[in-house]
Amino acid sequence: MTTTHAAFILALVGCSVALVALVVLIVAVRTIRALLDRRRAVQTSRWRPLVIGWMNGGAEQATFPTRRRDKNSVVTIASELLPKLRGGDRDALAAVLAHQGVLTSAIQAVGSRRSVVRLRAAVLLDVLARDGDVDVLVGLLGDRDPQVRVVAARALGRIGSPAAIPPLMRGLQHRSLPSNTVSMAIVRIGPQAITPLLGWLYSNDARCRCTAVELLGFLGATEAAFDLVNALDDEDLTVATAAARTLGRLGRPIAVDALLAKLEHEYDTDELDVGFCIACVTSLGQIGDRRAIPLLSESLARSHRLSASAATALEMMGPRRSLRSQQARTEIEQHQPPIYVSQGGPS
Amino acid sequence: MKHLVIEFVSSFNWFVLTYFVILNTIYLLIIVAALAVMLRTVRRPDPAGRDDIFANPLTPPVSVLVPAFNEGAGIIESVRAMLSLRYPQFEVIVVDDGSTDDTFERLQQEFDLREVVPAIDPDVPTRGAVRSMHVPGGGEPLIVVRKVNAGRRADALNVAINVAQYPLVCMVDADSLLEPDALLRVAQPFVDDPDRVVATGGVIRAANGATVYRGHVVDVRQPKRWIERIQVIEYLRSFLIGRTGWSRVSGLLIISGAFGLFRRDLIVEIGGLDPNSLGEDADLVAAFHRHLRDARRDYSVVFVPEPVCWTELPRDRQTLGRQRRRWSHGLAQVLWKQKRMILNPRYGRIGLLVMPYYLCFELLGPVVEVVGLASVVAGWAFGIVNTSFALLFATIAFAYGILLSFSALAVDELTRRRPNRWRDLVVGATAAIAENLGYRQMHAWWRLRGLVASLRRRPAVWGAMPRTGFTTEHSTR
Repeated sequence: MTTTHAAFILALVGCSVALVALVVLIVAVRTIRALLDRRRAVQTSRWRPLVIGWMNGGAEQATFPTRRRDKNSVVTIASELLPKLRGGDRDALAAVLAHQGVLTSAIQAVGSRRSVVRLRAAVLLDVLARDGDVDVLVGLLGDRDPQVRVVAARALGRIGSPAAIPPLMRGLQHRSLPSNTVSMAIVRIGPQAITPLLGWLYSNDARCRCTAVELLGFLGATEAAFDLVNALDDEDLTVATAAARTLGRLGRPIAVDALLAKLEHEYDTDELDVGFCIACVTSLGQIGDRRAIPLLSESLARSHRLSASAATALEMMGPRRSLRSQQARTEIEQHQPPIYVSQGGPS
Repeated sequence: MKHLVIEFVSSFNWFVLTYFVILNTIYLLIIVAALAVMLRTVRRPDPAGRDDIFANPLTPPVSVLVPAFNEGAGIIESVRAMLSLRYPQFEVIVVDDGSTDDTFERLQQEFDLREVVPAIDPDVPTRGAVRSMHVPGGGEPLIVVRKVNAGRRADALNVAINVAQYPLVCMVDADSLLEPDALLRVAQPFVDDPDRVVATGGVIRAANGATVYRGHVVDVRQPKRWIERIQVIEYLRSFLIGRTGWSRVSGLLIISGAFGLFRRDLIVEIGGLDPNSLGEDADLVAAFHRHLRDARRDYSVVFVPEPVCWTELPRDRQTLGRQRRRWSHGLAQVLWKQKRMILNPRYGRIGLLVMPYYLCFELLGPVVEVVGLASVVAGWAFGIVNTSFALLFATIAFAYGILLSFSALAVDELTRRRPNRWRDLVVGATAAIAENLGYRQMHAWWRLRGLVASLRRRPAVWGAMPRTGFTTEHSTR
């Protein structure tokens, strides 16, 4: 037998062994999964009534299973239930978990070497969303596992503490947190986030400036209007476009002159940025100031997308819209910001 | 003469052996990379939370582009599934590319379409003129454009890109069914990293054998025909394993035309999809790589290893053969068009690793396979083949092919959320074995013909794919 033959036979044996191992793996995975699913169903049906019962009684009186497996099942059921609950039921359930030492274990697990353990702890802190855990969660924003950081950011948003805004924005600046997570957390914090966000309008990082601009719009920060008008001149076009959009969302008439000037300037240049122009046109329509009508009418002769936006803007400035914008103006004058997007949803 | 033939066959055998070892080592590395990604995805709960993306006011709106040519059989189910997608803001643009069946009539009847004046910016060049534009009377976010057929899917997509008003465009085949969360899943990388991500794709799975209820896949079973069952395994291997693995090493060259999400402004920058290309999906991603590398811009193309799209596979040999010839022809066109990128360090891993791989193993693979088989026959005719050696080699090749398919099955089993029936698993495993007995050789022949057609500069033809539609469940749920 030559060396080549021997190598071939060895390869064939290797392939055969690997094939058998794969078949065993497939069968084992399927069987174990079926068994685990069945056990989970049994445990859920056994312990769910107990967990639901906790919502009616005090934390001190609550009975907790002693076996580790049962305890884990109960914690899993409660963790899945908590995000769906509000008010007293939620507080009661969170209190039982805290009383039984689940919270303390989670805080201890935050320092674990295993990222899966830290992730589970962060998820638990997220569903419990307690004010006292802000410092622990801010610490987790620097975790080496990106998923742990994301969960910590989400939990900080759920808690609603404005103290979380600087570390969240720093996470965005250092690219350690996705902008989706940061923006959603800050939107959840609500109007308390406005003041800390104003400082980020002047950040060196365009990404932070852009997110701050957009978020101020979604939070209805009318007091930021002057800063947002300045942001129309931002060197980064993404920030300027976001500022134009946000000014429309806020509906402040003080932005009209600046928006008209920017739009006229764009029309005079050879390389017009359609996205920026659309943002200006739409905002002018949303603000509903009649001074914008001549330029919006002129925009009707531009490219399809721009003319379509201008047509919609002019339509918005019709009689009904004028009435609405009048109401909005009155609200603004009385310092009553419009409804926050966090209450109204993305639509 | 005989001495020359012996010398050639012997050298060629060693070449084939080396080629086989390198190719399968690459496959193994891809499987390992994909397995690492998928195990990580499965072991950990998804912390990003799709609800967050859905509720996030910064989630970018998407235009879903659906080119349709004679898709009457399944168009209503597909459009219904697209309109019921879970996403904050989107529009569906169906381009009826001069269908000769009742595609448009069905849409008109189902959605009470009303004609509107077509006002479209020519952001990217198109060939077939737009005949009319329609919107539904019920106010659904749907636009139907009828255009003259130019014989190219890319042209229909270019028209749709011009009509699209949102910053992200999702290209979907009209015979595809999307998971309700499909857009949320593939849009997540854009939301997380809006500066860098330029394109995303997801796992495409076979809808043959699946039961559809109101535009959604509710039950997955193995299809009835072996030709379809083998394709199911192929899809698992290439879409689930192959693309996840390539994405792990930042080397994703193809995002399937059946479902992909792209930045519209970039498509406009590169002048739209190439209407001369048969592999417009690969061509688009390759053009992105080239354009962005040339401009020295930081970017990423991401593959989401989760099932997002179900597509109808060819049910007979003729249609399948046409499809595979077209894929091979398209790949040759893309590699020829982007030849400057191959082995060019300027284009990083794409130029140094991915494109040479596609050239040597995906495009020229069938040449080696077919010539290898022919040389064995010639060797036997001349009596110069060592039979035991040849049989041993063939057995290893056979076993290795099965091993790769079983690896795909194992990864699927490990990451599957809904277990299928034991019977379907056994059928899948049998198809993985049967694939090597005739199908693989036939496939190599089709690919070779596609390559020859591209070398002879034959006009690229799309050809019709007969649709039978989906197995629909009408039960009262």
